[in-house]
Amino acid sequence: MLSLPVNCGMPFFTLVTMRGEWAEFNPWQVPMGTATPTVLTTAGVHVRRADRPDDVAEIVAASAALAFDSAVPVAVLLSQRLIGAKAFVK
Amino acid sequence: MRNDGTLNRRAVAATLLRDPGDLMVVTGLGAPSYDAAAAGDRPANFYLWGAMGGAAMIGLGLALAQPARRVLVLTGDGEMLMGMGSLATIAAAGAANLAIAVLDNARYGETGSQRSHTGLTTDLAAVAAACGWTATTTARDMDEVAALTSRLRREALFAVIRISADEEPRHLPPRDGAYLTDRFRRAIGVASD
Repeated sequence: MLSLPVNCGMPFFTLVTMRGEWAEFNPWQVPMGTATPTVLTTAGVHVRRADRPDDVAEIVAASAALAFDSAVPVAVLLSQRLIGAKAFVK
Repeated sequence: MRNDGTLNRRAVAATLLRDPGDLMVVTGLGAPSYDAAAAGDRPANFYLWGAMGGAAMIGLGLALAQPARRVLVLTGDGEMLMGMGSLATIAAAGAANLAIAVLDNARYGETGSQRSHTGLTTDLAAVAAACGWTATTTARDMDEVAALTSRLRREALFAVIRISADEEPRHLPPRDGAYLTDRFRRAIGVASD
């Protein structure tokens, strides 16, 4: 599906809440979580990443500007450390 | 369920796209794109050459962004099967200005005419109805197709058209995505400077 924004010069902006990379309990989340930045980059998406709360607003704003002003696909990965690991066992 | 389609796909496309006015048309990759081009290339046709399974959702995006205009998605059974979840999303979104016409030959024509699910067990019109589309229909003759032409420009209609599995000569539309996007945007008056 990423052939669409890449070929057509369309802005594409996605925020990705990450799994499988920080205190992950569910092993089924790990393969895709590990591969996400590589897969997106290889498919032509510009990948940015936020690990600290203080950085989120600036990174999201700059990445949205990149996507819509330069008409390219951009993903911001909101890291699992940032959003917090899901608690499966209390 | 076996494919009982007898209609010529080019005749169907020519009928559905006759005098299109300012209708925005999104076509699924492969033969539906060729059919629409053969019916008459125009800037407000957005031909997909890839993004399989995305035609209906691209249509929904256009319909939501341009609520005063009509959008017609013209695609095939294989492409629609790949994006079947979008039928639920579209019904939930309730876009009154979007219609979908599926040229159903019960085949994956671009990869060697393997049978698709619509030639086995799946009734796409019934799927759409179950997803919440209130207007669904299946056309099997050209009189029914002719009646669809105006309905597809007036209603939120999901129409399956049973076409024959015969292949037509390729009639290739432009395939430069940036060109197709730019001319489409200019055609509907939203081109950026």
